[in-house]
Amino acid sequence: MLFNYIIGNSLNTESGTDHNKFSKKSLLTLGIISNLALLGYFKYTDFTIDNLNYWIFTDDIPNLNLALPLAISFFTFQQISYLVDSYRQETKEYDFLNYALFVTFFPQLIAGPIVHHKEMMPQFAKTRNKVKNYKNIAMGLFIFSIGLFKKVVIADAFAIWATAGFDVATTLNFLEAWATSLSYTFQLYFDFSGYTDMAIGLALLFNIRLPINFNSPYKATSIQDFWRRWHITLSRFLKDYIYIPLGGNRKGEFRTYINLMATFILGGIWHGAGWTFVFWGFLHGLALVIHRAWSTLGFKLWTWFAWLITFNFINIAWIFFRAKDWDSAIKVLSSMFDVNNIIIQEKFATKLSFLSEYGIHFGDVMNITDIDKDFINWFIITFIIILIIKNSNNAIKSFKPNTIHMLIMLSLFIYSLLQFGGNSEFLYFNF
Amino acid sequence: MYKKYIKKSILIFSILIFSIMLINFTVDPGEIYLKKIIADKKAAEFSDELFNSQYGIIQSGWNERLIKTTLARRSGEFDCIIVGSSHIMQISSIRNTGKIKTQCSKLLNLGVSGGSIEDIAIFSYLILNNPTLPKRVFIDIDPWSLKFNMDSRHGAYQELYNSMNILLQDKSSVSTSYYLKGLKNLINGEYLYYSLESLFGKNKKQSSLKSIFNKKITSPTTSFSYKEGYKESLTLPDGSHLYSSSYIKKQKTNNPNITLGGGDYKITGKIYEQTAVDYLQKLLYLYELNHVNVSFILTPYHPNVFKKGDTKAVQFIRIIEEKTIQLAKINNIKIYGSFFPEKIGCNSNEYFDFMHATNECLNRINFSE
Repeated sequence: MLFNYIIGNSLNTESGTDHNKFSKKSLLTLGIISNLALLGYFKYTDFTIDNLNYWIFTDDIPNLNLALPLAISFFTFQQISYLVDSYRQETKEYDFLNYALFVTFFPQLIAGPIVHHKEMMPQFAKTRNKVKNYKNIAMGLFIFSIGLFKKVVIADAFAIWATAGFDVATTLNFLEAWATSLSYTFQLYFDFSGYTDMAIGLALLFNIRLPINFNSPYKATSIQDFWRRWHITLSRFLKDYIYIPLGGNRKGEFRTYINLMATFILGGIWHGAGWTFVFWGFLHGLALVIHRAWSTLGFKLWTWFAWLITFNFINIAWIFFRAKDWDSAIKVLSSMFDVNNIIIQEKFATKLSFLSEYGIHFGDVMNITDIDKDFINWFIITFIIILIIKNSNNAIKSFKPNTIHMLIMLSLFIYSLLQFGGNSEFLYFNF
Repeated sequence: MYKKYIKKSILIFSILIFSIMLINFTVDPGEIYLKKIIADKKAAEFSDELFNSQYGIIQSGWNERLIKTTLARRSGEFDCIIVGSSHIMQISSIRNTGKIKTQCSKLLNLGVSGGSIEDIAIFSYLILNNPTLPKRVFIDIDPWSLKFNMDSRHGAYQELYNSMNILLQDKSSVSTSYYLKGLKNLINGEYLYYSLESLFGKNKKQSSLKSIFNKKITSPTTSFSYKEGYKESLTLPDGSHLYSSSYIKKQKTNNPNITLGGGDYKITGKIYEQTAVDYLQKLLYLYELNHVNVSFILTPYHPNVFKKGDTKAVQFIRIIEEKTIQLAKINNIKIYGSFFPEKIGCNSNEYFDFMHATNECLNRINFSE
């Protein structure tokens, strides 16, 4: 932190000579390389070793099994953006304490949003923000409760199915495969956006406003629309510090496609050290390229059809994001399209018996987990939540200190607290 | 306006959370809070009555582990103690099982259903914390004894288990404090669900606070033979178990139907864990330091279990017996019995089921050697 602060301040000093400009560029390069080297060392060393062993040395180099410093991916990005903006003379001379707070601000440190110094430092410096603000506290508690509920109640419920399908089951039937992939699609959204809501809520308790990070991403009707709604602060970073510096769309259509692909492949590897993440980034990059090419042709799809294609693409791409290796990803993906392995719940056997002529079987559908047989109801309710109900950004906008909001907040908060401990082991001690 | 809203929210939140905690504490479906306080008192009364009784106390309705831990607190009054699972629960000095009286004039049986390594540790902690120590402790080894987490019921005595782990300097086995877990459990949703079920009379299995409070300690009223049993199951004055006459009769009828190659109770996962073997080794060393002589007991499985070749159950049985023999050799410990019926000489009709030998079979284990 101190290293970045010193480099940032040095870059920010006014100077005009060519010699100094060159020095500043070197300083910026040093700063960026140092940050990336640290991230690379902790996050990607074992990945590199695995690849070297696979392609060249055949298991000669042992893994380092380094413990990953908490939130390193997030604070590295934040500090790089600070250095680049200092170089562009877009930063002010900030106080070190405020800079340290900007990097380590606990509500958003672990899971974002990725904040920009321009939106945070002035808030830290503002005297008025050091005074208790009951409106912010009330809103903060409200949005925190929504986030807690999303994480503890919804995401953790879907996590059980996703884990069973991806990590436990050796084979999946058609419905199980779809249930597995959709479970992860929902788990990821509610988990991540739940954490973001909690971060926004906690920050509001300190009179700090964090940027929104999700805006109903599964309502997106194109992949471009999706990235304007999903992890918005990451998209902003990728655009400002990778896509635009690479030339953005200013260097012709072909170069734009290359830039898009490069940005998203880098985005993929930022999410995790593995080829499946790279492939996930590649898929998204490719989708954006196709979308851009399609848009230039001027064709329009029906909105519902555009949504269907977008949602299914995202759902399928998440498989590579979640799977621990290629085999698990292929297991889920191939079963999703294995129409010869459709099993419908036994209770429909009489009414829908004619379907057996088409190779559809009746039996126990969700063999992979016996947690909840009403999974179809869960999926329907969740689709309603993500497609129809107001998202937390809108909910906070319409927040009023009235009984209804209080009841919503207390219900969500208390229900989440009750779910925190999971099953009570104490119930089984006496049996 | 916002200040008032926050104050009101905090007030309602506090009332609701307090109500939830109060319901869980008083209705207490797991019998760990208010019911436990009363049950502990009752268990102490039970142990007093048991030790003064001539023919034991009717066991039905009493929490086995609670009773046995209460009895264990008085283990200093005995010269021999047996710890383990239901396999050894019938071994009795009163019935002189396998001539055990030649070694132990006063025996206390602390066997509990599903007794696992954690139970052995808990009872050992209670035994070793008595001002007077017994001369000898018999540890029952079962096919699941050399693994952790094979039975969750020891969890109610987590604090005792943690204390033993600290004594053994086995910090890896020290889990979150039982009291802290208990405190968190006061706002557990599942616990609240069962509390509400009990509160509205939907859970008939739950014993009410009143029924625990009014629980009677009853002795047998008519004479009975140990062979045929009393009309209800009994805890005999030495802590050993006597099955009810109806159970004994029923099991004798079922006996010929015992599945060939069965016997897979708690036969899952790894056969043994080295960490558990090391843990038991530390425990044995602790007994040695305290000059308490330790012996192992193995009770025989039904012959039908072995009639389908080297099944998973048979593999477990064979390997655990071998491992027990190794441990015994290293520590110079005597082993009584075996999992293999032919080594003891038990017949097919001397069992209640595939893993519970009757007293006739247990009598063939010679404790006088």
